[in-house]
Amino acid sequence: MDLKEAVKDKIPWDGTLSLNEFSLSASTFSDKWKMFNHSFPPWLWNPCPKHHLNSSHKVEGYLSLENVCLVKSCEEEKNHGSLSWKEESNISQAEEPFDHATLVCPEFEANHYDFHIVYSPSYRVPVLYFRSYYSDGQPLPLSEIEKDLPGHSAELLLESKWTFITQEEHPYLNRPCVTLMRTLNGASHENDFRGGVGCSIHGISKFVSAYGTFVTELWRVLEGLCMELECQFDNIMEHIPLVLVAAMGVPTLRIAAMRLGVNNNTISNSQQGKVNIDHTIYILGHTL
Amino acid sequence: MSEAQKYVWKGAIPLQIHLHESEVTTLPPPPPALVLAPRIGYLPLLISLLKPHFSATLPPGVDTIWFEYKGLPLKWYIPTGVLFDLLCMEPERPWNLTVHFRGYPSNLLLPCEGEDSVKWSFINSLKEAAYVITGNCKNIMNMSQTDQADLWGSVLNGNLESYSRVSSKLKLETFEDEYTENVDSASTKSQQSTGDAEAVGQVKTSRIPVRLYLWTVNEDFDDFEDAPVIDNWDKVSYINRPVEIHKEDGKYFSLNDAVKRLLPEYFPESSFGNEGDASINQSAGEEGENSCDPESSSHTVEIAEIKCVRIQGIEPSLEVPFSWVVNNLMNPEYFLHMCVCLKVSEANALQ
Repeated sequence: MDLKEAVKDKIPWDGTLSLNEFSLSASTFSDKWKMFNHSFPPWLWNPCPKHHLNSSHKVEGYLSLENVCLVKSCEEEKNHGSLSWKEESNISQAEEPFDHATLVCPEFEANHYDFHIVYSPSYRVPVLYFRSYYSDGQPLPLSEIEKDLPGHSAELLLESKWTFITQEEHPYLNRPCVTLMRTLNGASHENDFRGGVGCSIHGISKFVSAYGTFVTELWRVLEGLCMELECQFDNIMEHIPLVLVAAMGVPTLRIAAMRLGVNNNTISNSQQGKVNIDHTIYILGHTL
Repeated sequence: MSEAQKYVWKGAIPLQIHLHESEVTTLPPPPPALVLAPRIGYLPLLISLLKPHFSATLPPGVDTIWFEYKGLPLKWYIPTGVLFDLLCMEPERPWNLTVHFRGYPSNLLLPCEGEDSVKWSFINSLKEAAYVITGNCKNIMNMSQTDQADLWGSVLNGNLESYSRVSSKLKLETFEDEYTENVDSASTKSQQSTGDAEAVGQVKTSRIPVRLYLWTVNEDFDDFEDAPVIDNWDKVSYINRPVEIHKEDGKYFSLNDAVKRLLPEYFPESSFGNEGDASINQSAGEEGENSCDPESSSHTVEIAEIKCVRIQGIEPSLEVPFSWVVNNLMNPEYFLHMCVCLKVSEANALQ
């Protein structure tokens, strides 16, 4: 069934979510993640604020995925595809299917990443915040985050001029994090109202690639789901409640779609009207 | 612009700024700098006044300015007036702050590279407010270069006239201003864009950008001098949530109503229903009750009471119409910043 057909009957969705929809979707998302993505630790739901006694009232919360290690091996070229993301505890387990490069190079550094998906009541979408730090807990400077990133498809690099990272404070946790923002119309990164201050273009493109890696991991979940449900990617969006943030919007969907062998146009056309390009923060996927 | 807005823009906090002793390399140490900081401004923008004052005594190195109050590093993107209202409930005049030019606590504070960072934060907030009010950021994105420069310049210099001229082009009015004498008296009622005949005339938008800084106490206090000190940002809940206005609210929707609507976890019956969701998570009728089982033994419930709401250094009566508060007391980036203290106590449900 054509996705356009499928969505025609659905209630038009403007790309936003309520807080409750976010909470429900987050729970479903983390269940699916657990099912299909064994090499990653699970996403945890953190309610906040924590001090309420009124259990009858639904609390806000956010999803967290913490202490994901980015293991760098000395053999890995930057353009060699993705660096391996490992759950820290897996490193010592010999029987886990491992990135072989880490075995070759006994001394590896690991940069740690904490990912949080938090609901933004202003934009009514989930937003990704993340923090990266060395093994000793010291935060990574943005320049180091850039180095962590693998080279990626030319398309992502092209699209990367639209996206940049910015530092913002975590809405709940009083600590500086990194989040993604998108400019409209490829506005330059000068400090004017249309664009924004960010890293160098070079750094940004590499960052987006890494974020692309993260996103493609998530898309792997969808792929797995496709196989499980024995349906085409076209239909997958109908069948699973999945909510995720991507500050890259439509270009990411196109790339992920290409990877899954789906016609470019189907995704972008059907997503028009679902992803409002005026937003600086986007949703990837949609809820039932 | 109204009288109240003029007062807000002229509002300033007298600061006595001491250089941190670790950065003093000369004897005698330099005297503190006395600065009048605009309420609607931001602390890092004071560097142009402070650097010359302290430069002779600073150790060699690169300057990254940051401030602290009684050991608490201050978040630079919060307007100065809000920081003062939040951290200095019993106003200290002058407000004694410590400035650092080295040793930036980057695990605690977002990086700040001078005026550009502050401008960026301001613009981001403005875009967010525009999004909350209109559903998109187009009007900000489409500003001309001159307008952009004029807007930021007017904030830097505290020039309300210049600001009003540029900001009116943005068309970010939230409420019609019925309660204040307005310089531009041409009625805009006839230009109501809403086609809905039932819409209450006053409300042009349904979401108002608000930033609420909440702290709670368990016990009463009479004087702010006795109030617990905020020595840690974890003691403040930062709530960046728009106030949702409904057609049924009418023009007497008060400040009290707005605060309660922003805090459904403390004031459950005030929440008017979540956005189109099934009501599975609605709290039971009375404030704070968990269940109505008469047979159960004592339930502890939380009773919350608004102790204080401070906006632009004043504590408006909670009965003031919220529309007046928003129109007159908001900051230049269209956010209304409110410092709220709640008294939260436990009580038995079966009283």
